[in-house]
Amino acid sequence: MPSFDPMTPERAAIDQALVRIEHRLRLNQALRAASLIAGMIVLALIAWRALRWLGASAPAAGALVILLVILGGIALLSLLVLALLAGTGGAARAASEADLRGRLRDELKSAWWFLQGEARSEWIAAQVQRAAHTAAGLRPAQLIPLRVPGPALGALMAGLVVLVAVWLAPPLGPGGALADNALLTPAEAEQVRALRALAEALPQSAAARRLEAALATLQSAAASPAEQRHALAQAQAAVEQMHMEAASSRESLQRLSETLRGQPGMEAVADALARGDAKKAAQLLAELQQQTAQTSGVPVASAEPAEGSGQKGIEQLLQKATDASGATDQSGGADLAKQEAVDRLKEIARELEASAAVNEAWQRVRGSQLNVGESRGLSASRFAQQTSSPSMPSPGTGETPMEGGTLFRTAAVAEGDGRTEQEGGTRAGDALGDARSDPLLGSSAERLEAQLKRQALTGEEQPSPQQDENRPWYYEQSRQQKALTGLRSVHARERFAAAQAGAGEGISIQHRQIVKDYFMKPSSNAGEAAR
Amino acid sequence: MTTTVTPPGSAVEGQIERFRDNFRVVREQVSRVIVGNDDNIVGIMTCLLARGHVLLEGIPGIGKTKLVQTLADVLHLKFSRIQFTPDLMPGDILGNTVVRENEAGRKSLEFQRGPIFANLVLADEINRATPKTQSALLEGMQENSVSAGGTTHPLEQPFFVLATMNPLEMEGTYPLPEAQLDRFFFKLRLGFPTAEGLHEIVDRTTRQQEPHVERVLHQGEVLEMRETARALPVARPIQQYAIDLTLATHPENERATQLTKRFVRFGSSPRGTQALILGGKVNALLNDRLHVACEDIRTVALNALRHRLLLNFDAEAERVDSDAILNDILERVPEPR
Repeated sequence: MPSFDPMTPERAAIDQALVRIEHRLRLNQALRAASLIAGMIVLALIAWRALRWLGASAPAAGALVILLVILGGIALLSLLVLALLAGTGGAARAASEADLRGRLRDELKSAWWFLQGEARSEWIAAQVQRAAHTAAGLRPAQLIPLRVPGPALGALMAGLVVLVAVWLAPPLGPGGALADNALLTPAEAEQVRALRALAEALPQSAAARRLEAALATLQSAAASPAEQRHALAQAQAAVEQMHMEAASSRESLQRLSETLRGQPGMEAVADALARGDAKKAAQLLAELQQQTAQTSGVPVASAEPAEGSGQKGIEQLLQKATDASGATDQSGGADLAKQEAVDRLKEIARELEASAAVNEAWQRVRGSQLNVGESRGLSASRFAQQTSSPSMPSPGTGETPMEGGTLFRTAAVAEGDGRTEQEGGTRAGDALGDARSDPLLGSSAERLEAQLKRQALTGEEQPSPQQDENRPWYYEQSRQQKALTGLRSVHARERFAAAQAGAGEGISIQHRQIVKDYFMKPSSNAGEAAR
Repeated sequence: MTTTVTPPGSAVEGQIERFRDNFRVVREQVSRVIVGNDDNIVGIMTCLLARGHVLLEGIPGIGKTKLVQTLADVLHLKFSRIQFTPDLMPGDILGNTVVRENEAGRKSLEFQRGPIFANLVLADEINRATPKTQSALLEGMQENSVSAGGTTHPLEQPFFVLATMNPLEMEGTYPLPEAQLDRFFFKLRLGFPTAEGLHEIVDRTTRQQEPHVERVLHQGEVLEMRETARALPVARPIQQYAIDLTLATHPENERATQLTKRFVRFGSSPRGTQALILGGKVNALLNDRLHVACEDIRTVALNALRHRLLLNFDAEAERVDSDAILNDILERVPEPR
């Protein structure tokens, strides 16, 4: 019988193998923890990104979620640290893991337990010897490969993909289009920048200056939501002012075209003005002037724009030019007037072009805001308005009739008290119909059935204190059910009344059965009669 | 630090080698006659080597009796067969005291040994005898001795009872009480052979010469194998696993599974745990291991515990058998780490 010393080489071999396996397990666990931490970081980044959006629309809820997420993160980290500290569970667990992974069928576990115990026998010695031989042949690196678990790795990769997607995606619009600092998306900001550049290029006017100032505020990161809202309204007002000025110019051109239509040689200019093409009109006028100069031999004089340039000025200048063209001695004055008229027309053409460009840019900005608004529900009128082209009535589009109806309406729109410009404007009477109607008040809005019920059941709604005590504890009608019951009773009364009124026999429904019984059961009726 | 480990090779290893060889030879010999049922042959041998008795359950004609007879032939042990009938008396099994007259004309009472005095006893259709007769056999199974006429007669070792039971014909039978069922180490179920198996059976049994077996194992070798099986050490975690399995069959125990709580009236007795460990030891030796693994416990769990669960009415109504409950327990009870 071989001697069995607790400190035999077999024991040392088993201990060595278990220590190696334990180290390997710790490494694996650390790797798993690292993957978990990485996953948590990814999750935290996604949550942070999501919270930016949530916090934008609901700051209080956002703060609560942030607090909960932080607490949850701390708890998870604590658990992780505890799990890491609790670690592999020593040699016993290492033996179990080795048995499991190496399919050793509890050989190392049994050997380790035999070595820990005091019982010794030939059989135990043989078992430990065999287990030691097995342990010596173990390769911990093959047995416990350093590997992040597949599901964890998959989840991590998926999380990374989501993170990249969330990071690159533009933030969702806030609940109200003009709710906070994240008022403009990067695309909108880009459009605002373009609009600003356009406004700078405009001829200096009060409206252009207002628009520029408003756009500067809109672009400013330091501006508060209220300031941005105000700036947006200002920009809108400035653009509308420019629209009005442009429309006024077109109206003047229209009138001018009618005036010039009767003048000889001015038909082409009149047509161009009627089309609203000031540039073409100016070109034609310049050609006319050139021809006149060639025929008369007087050189074309360049003229400085007169003070108070405007549509009235150009009318007067052209009138003067046409009047003077009849008299030869006044031909120099006529040329000068024509030249001035050409310059004015060119200026008007520039203004109209700039106004059209500003209008288009502004429509793009407004369009993106409308798209954000779509997520909250798109009204039928808004849909129709968005799908029709052009979407906004404007002189810049060239499709707006110049009779003044639309122009007048646009000018009459006042800023309402809604959260968005669209809502506010439409409440004041915009034809777009975007805003919800205010609820009607008073009894006139109450349904007929409800009125009837109220009249029929007056006083039944208020339960007495005694009724409160007798109220059944197991079932009670809800207010809705009570209302439905009441409504049915009202309908029933109506039907009953209708039936009564429509009965041709002259016997009401409630008495019909009595009459029927009277004739069908004469004996019982006789008894009752006798009684 | 590197450690030199001596390769295993000792008397123990030789003992295990002999055990496995003997077992293999028995299996081979029995398989000459018995088609299929390899698991049941191993189960019967496990019972024999673990000093237990086995209850065979199966429909008529699938070779229960033939299996036992073949085993007796192979093991070179004294074999007796008792056909249990309703009129069988305890004396017919244990033996009777008879009056015997010697040459001098002196009369004396002498105990005439019954068929129980054999190494291998086949109790065929044990559930056909009355409980009184059944209990006479079961007393011998438990005590390994027979008391008659104020004298205790020890039974020769190995004493191994193989009882068969027909699960179909229940009319005129006396089902074994739970306490008596518990005395059986294993309850084995013999299934119907496959088509291939039937071909083989027909081929073997319809020729002029039926296959015959050789007696390959003697009484002493069987006893040595029994000692070898008992000597195998069991680590405490493995023992804990066997105990956990046993406790999981008790509906009131915290380890009980949902199925146990729902369908079991009484769980396994401690004899069940003993059967798990001893059966596990034999299984470990058969797999050339010097230690019992949880896998060995699981291998024998169904045979060791299925007849020790007393199911309730719900189980009967929903046709849930003990095997389903035990499989559920085996799935749910974790191995000790």
